[in-house]
Amino acid sequence: MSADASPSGQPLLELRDLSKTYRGLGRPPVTALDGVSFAVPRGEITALVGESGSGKSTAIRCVLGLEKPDAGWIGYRGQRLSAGHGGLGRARHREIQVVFQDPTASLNPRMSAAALIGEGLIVHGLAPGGPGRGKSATRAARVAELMRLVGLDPEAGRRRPREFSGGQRQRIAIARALAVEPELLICDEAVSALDVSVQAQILNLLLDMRDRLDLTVLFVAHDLAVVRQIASRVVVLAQGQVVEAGPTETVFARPGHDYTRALLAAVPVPDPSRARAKAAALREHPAAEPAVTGPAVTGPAAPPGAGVAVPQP
Amino acid sequence: MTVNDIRPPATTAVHAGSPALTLNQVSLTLRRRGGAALRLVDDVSLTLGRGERLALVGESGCGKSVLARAILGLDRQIEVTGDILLGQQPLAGAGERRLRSVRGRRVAMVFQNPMGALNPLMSVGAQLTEPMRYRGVTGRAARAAAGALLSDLGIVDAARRLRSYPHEFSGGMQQRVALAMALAAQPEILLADEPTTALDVRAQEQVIALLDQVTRERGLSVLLISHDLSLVAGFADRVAVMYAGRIVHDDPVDAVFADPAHPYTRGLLSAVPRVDRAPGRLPAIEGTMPPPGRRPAGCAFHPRCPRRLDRCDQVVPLARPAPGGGAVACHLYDQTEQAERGALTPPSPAPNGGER
Repeated sequence: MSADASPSGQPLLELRDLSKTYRGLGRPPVTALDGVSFAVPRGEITALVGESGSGKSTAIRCVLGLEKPDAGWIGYRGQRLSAGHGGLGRARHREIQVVFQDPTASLNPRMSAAALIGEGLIVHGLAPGGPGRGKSATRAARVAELMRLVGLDPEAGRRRPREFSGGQRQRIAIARALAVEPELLICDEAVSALDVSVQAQILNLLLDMRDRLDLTVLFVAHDLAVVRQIASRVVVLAQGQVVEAGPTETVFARPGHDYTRALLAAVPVPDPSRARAKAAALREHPAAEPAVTGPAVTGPAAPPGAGVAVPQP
Repeated sequence: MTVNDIRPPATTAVHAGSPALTLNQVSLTLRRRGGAALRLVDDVSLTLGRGERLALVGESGCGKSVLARAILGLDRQIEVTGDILLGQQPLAGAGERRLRSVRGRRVAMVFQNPMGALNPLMSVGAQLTEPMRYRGVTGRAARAAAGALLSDLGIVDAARRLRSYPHEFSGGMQQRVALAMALAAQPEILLADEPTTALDVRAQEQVIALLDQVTRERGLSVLLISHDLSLVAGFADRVAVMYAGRIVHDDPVDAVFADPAHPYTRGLLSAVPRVDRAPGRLPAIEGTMPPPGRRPAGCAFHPRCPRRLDRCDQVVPLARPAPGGGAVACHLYDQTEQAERGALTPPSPAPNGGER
């Protein structure tokens, strides 16, 4: 699939022919990315979809400079995004922020919510006043504003992450990412671990941020129902290759690839009679291990049903 | 909360007679050293009919997992009050000895993370044949039965795969093995706690389909615990919705999805993203579920409820008959409220009587 042209001029982020193979001693090499190209247009929410092992995490790790691609080009505002030893460099780290799946793992348990949210302001010198606690009225005001923005009570700023619920912690992680006014927010399965009601709140929050801050979001997810709800564009990844990309409406209405169709068909529907009919159909034609019907695999493919663990890069 | 014969069976034969499992006014309290007791589950009554599939649905922290674990007495620091009956046999307050004779043998459990249930150092065959010893099946017969079980769960070349170790399987396959292990002792009841949450969509769909098939074939009663309403839609006969430690709604699956009687169930359902819905903002329930220890008086859902009444912040609503045939704990269904409306009709989405 060719690099997906942006509808409005130059995309904010662009990946071209990105490849990455993990090699380990005594084990076969794993090709996590095999010529991946896609674009993330400005001011939109683009979803990167795929199952575990599809390479979506590797792709964003390359964008974040946490992983060095073997080949290919990553462009940010048309310029090559290059990573040194310390990652992307300070300026880029402000422009590109990330929210991970598990806020508990990404928030320092010994820091208060306000300190966590305000940390980036100190690092990037955005709210003057020195690193001391409560030294900067500007910073405190900005932190309170951010907490309100993501629907947290600024009064709760002194609490530690463990005193918040999972959904609130994810809000802290989002506020922390937004604090430095990034242009690109990468959400790596950021709502997957959340309950439905909280998930809906966070999705609405992302839509608000896109509208109010003109934020560009790369939304990495496996849940197509969620993707349908918030993303305007979809990139489907399977076995390290882009199998389909395009506007969400088009991809969902007329999926062009069997793999996309299979993913769409597997999305559970909250409708008992339809769900029972689907289950009955599955009983009629029991499938073994989901055969990955991605692109033609170059390496030795596992036979269907062999149940070989898909290596997780 | 409901008796198991409240409706004709929709999908599976729900056998008459005594229920497979009965919870009667069960409350669970966490005793902490030096700290105050923390009430996790409040006054839960629930029955699981023989051959029935009951889904227990709720958000994380509502108490659904701890409730399932309490059935088998898995958490020692949890104090159980009320009755838990396996058939006629009381389990609440039973000693370790009796619980051991029940765990895995009469009531089996599968968890979210299959690797937590599988021993990484034992071959799958060895793990599958282990529970068979409980019923005296050993040696070649046990290996044959284990192979048959694996192949029932859609594992190709099962006889050969018995020699494999858990890490050689993918996540979806590991969960199938864990499920096979749970079935190996031929239990009457299967407690499945978020068995597909860690899996990809396609693996999830298949594991649920297999769970459906193998439990149907064996006539097992299943309690499926999930936070995901869409997941249970095609599987369950009945859905019990839990909020902040209480069952607030218990209805046949079709009624739950067609016209959810409880405002919380309604809110949960409308917040589910779906592929057949127009994109954009989701109707989210404002606020969050209060954690144990900070649950408000009255109905715990009242601060978030779009249809709350004056008494909702004072009086805990009792379970009332729901229009769908089950039960609902919500003041909208109190007799007085219904009398005021002059009929026993369920409240329509936008009545204007008695609301703030």
